[in-house]
Amino acid sequence: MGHPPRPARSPWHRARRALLALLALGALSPAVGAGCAGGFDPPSVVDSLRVFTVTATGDGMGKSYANPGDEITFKMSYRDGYPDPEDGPRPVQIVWLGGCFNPPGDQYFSCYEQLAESFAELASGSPAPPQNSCEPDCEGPSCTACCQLGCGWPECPVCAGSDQSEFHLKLPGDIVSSRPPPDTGPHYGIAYVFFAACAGEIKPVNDEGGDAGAFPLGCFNPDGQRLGAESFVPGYTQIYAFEDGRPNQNPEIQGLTMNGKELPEDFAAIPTVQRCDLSEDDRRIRGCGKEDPFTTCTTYEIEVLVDPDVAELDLESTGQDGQPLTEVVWVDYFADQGNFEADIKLVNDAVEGFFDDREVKWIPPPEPGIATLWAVLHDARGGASVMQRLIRVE
Amino acid sequence: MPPAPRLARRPLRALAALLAWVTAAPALAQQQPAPQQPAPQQPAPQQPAPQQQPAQPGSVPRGTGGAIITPPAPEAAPAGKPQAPRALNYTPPDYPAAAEAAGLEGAVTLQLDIDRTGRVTQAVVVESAGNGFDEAAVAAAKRLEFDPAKRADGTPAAARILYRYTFNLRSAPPRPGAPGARPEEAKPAENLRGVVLSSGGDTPLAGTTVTAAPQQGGAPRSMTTGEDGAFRFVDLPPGRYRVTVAAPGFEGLSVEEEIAAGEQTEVKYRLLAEGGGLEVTVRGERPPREVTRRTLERREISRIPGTNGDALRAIQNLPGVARPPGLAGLLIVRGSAAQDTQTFIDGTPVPLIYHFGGLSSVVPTEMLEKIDFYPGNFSAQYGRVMGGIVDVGLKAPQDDGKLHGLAQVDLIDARAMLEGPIPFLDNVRFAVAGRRSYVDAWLGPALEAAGASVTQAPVYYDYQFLVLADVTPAARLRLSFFGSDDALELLVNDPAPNEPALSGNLGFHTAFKRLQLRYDHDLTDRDRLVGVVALGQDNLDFGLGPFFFLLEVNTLTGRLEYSRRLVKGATFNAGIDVYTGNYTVNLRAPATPRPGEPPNQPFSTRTINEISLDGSIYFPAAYVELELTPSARAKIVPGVRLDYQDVNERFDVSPRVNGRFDIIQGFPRTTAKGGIGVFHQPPQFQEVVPPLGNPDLRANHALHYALGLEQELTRRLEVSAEGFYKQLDSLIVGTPATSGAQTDYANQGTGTVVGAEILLKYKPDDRFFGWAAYTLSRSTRTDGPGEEERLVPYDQTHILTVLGNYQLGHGWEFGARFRVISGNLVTPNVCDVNDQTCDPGRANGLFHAPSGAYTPIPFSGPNSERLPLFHQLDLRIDKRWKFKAWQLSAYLDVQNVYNSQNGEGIQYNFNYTARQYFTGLPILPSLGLRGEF
Repeated sequence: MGHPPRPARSPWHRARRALLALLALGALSPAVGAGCAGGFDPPSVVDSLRVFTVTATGDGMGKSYANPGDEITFKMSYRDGYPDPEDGPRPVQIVWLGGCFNPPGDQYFSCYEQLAESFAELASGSPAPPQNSCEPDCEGPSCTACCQLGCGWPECPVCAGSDQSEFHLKLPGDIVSSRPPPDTGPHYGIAYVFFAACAGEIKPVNDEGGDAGAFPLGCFNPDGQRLGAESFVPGYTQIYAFEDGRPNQNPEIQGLTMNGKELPEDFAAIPTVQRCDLSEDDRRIRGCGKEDPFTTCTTYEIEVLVDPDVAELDLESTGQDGQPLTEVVWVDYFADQGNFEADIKLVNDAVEGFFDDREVKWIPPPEPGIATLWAVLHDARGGASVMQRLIRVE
Repeated sequence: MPPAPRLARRPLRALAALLAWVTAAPALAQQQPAPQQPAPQQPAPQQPAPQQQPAQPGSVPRGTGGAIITPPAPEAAPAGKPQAPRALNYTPPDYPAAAEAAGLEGAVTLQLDIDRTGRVTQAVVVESAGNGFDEAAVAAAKRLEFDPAKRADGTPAAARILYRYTFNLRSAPPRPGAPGARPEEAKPAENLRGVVLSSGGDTPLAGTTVTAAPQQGGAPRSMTTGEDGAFRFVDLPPGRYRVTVAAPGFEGLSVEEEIAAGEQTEVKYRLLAEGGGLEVTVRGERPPREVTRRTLERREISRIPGTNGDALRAIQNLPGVARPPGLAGLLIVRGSAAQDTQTFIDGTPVPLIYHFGGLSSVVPTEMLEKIDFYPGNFSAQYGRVMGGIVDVGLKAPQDDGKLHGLAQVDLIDARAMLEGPIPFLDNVRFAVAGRRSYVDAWLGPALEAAGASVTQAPVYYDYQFLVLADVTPAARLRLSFFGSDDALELLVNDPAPNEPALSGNLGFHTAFKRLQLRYDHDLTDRDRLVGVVALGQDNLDFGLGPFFFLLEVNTLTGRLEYSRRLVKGATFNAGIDVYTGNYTVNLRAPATPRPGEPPNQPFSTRTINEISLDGSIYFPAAYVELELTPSARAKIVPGVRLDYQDVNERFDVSPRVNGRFDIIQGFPRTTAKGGIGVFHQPPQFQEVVPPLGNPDLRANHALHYALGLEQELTRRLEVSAEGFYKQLDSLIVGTPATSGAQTDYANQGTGTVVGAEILLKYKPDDRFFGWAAYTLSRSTRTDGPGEEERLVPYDQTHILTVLGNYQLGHGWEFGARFRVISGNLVTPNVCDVNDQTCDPGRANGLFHAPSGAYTPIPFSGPNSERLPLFHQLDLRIDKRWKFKAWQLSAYLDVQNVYNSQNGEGIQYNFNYTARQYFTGLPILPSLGLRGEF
């Protein structure tokens, strides 16, 4: 529900506010400068190619913690929010690169050395032999390449499921036993899977980098020009396997509500809201120390529906009272139209438990159309799930 | 045949001066008249002049021919100032008969040792005249009696001074009508001459106007002093004169002089700087034991623009001190980390030097007696750090029997101080001071206007209570209680971007308090004992949402130093230095990710790590040092320190040696100096105490080298240059544990710091003071074998500070400070688009799917990009109004006058595709008002 506009301030109030803002800036500019600097879009604004999450499943359950030898399916949720609506969505090429297990220091960038040969082969167009077998999930003549590089490459025209947004990986049976047990803590193994989504063509690159190296793939348009982050999302995910076989489920989203009413999945039933005439630039230009003028628009409370028992127990941690703690769960909100006043909310705290307040305020866009909202629920152990809903803006 | 003119035994010249005073400077304006012996009836050898007489402005005892010198009552030394010995009598030497007969004259300079009772224990000829003059001078000097020298707190002290007897002959007045006789008035004679000096430094005051007005009427005559501060009046008619001495920027002096016919009076006037009644000076009783000890005088400290008159903030303008980022109240000395520099208050370590944001220091300037700042190669009396030392001395209360006080307000804080005698207790004085900020009055509403909910806006306060008793004339006992407290609390309504669990109260509180007992005792003329013991409590509380860190440390610290002058030119110092205490830690914070927890997720969502610890620490140390002065030109100070740390059960031995040598003595002095020493710094708490740390750690190790030169250019201008090199070994480096949730600490780091400092300083005169300080340095670290060398974040290659203050007159002063400093270093995740090599298409971040956050991919190695050059101009203007019993002053201190947008860091957007600088302080005026009596 929108708020009525506030009465106009007197000149004295304006001067006082300006003075106070100046003093605050002077005293705390390093601390609050980020909030006042402007110029950066919040992460919830989907105006480019974005990957929301990659969920790991297998045997019908979450597989951010898996067992040696498990077959895992990775599913990428992404959206290209960049293209001109008249041209329609751009084709998105997705590549996957698995086969990195227990890299030195458990650091993702240490995989570059393990996968250097694969990257080199990728550059020459002939992938290296796989380091593990994907059978029986992989189909077609280049199944090994599929496992190594993912779908979409000439060497891997057909993958299991034939969906570039999915990738299948079988953990080695010795992923845990092949490494010595640590001095303290559980005995575990780790697998890394890299991916890249590109609204163009993926090619190898050799960028400068510091201690963490540089990602060896880039995204290019048909003219050979390198595309930036609006068209290219490189990333990675990781899977743990424990000797004791502990599981971790993906936290489940039960629904998404707007002003208390659940948003339907059926397009025909999506709700309609009024647009807000203020653009984001209009709001930002007001500067620091002033009220966001969106209060003159009708705004909507968006909330993710989550089971209060969504958080699993963290059996290795106990509070000062000796009771076991729960895993932390939080939700990220995204929208390709309009924006959120806050875009991240804690759902479950390790000590405090479940939070009832998960609402965020959504300000509709200034233009009519169909807005897509996403909620991504994360737990602190790598589990995730995503939900997408549509809203009509008029 | 008429008899030949006979030599007259009468004083021709009285010249006695304190040529050098090694321990203290005179306190008040005083003159040194030249009492002369009664003129004999017959020509006779003249008597040399006596030493100066004590005097007070406006009431200056003096002697003339035939006058009896009456020792005045001992004058109380102003608090906070040492006082030179003053002669209570005059003992004329006999003119050697042979020399008289031969018509010889001469001057003998003696070195007098005066004990604490004022008795001359030894007189040594340092400038001989031969012909019996030396023996006569020594014999006379041993009959001299002095009011002994006094320390700043008024306790008597032994002293050594130079004293000169001048033996002159003058022709007897010819008998009337005798051949060759001529009227006395026909011979031009300098019958009033002298020198004008500044009090507190014996610096000649050039350009001073000295006016002699005959009281019996007549036109006054004026002279202007030359560069040496000297003046001479020729042929003043006999009579009484009102002599006024006026120099801009100094308190005027008016005294009465009597000029006798045929006699010459020589005087020495000392003037007090206006507003300089309270000085914070670094004035050692001996030459420094260290290679470099920086000195700031009160007038300099309180007038430096951009510091709000804060003495300790003024340190940041000295060579070797880097500019801390933003509002961080840190001291970064010669490329060392902030924790490598320790602050002491009268020998007791304290955890803080600056309040919240570095806005002001934890001890107000009014309570300071001195600031010793050692940027490196410090004496063996200090240890446990490998950077620098700041030792702040609290001021002794004034002992003039009156109450004194002040009150000051500005935009940031208000302070008050009261000091004086304690009724009914002889020789016991007190001082009490306090300060509280009221930043909360305006910052709270300002933060709320900016969108934050403020539970408690930043508040700080500090306090000092001090009682000083002169137990005996040679012993002083002082009880002090001082402390500081800073608190801030904000209510964060919405979580920070990418940190869902960071909401709720943000609180920060840090405090310390000390109950300190200090004892100084001059056991004998050769032996001295100084001890200080303190009970203390330190608190550091930090809370953010569900997380907190609560630390309480109760300490017992103590120092005891015994000094003995073994023989001439050799002094032995030995001491113990103990730091012990117990601690309690309660920690609830996100742990390092455990196995199964992706490392890149939001900090606030990591596993909770709750730790409650208590224990004790015991750091004893002992040291010995020799101060060797093999010649008047040289001083060398070897020393060794032995430290023990019980947390890791280790001993460390730290030998050090420093030396100075005057290549050219006297003016213009040229001094070479140098030092080399070993320094150890024990591990920090979290590094060594299980389960957080590694109990097998050794102390960090550093080797300091320094070599420098000091050169006087003029009486006012001095330049010093010093090169330094620090070799760091066994540095403790924390790395993520290969397993588990801990950080592994090991002594695997190394480093080097190399640089040079140049200080061109114009010493304060009646109108101006200022300096230019330049530091060139490079500080690198290597985190382990095989690791690449990297620069430290606060490595600032060039640090140039130029400042000055000018007295405009009529109570107005104007000052300016300009700084140009290399930017701090950052590790860039996004290349600078202004750099031609920057590829905007580079992937600067990887999407980390388990957490939904981006992992930055640093563009290059650690600390590989330098922020833009920092430059800032600060201005300050002061106005003082003097009233009969008090004075009022106001100032306007404007920081960053032209609002330079100095980058303090880089912030990135969520996926590291864009970056921008966040900037430091904008233009910030501060208006202050101060009254004192």
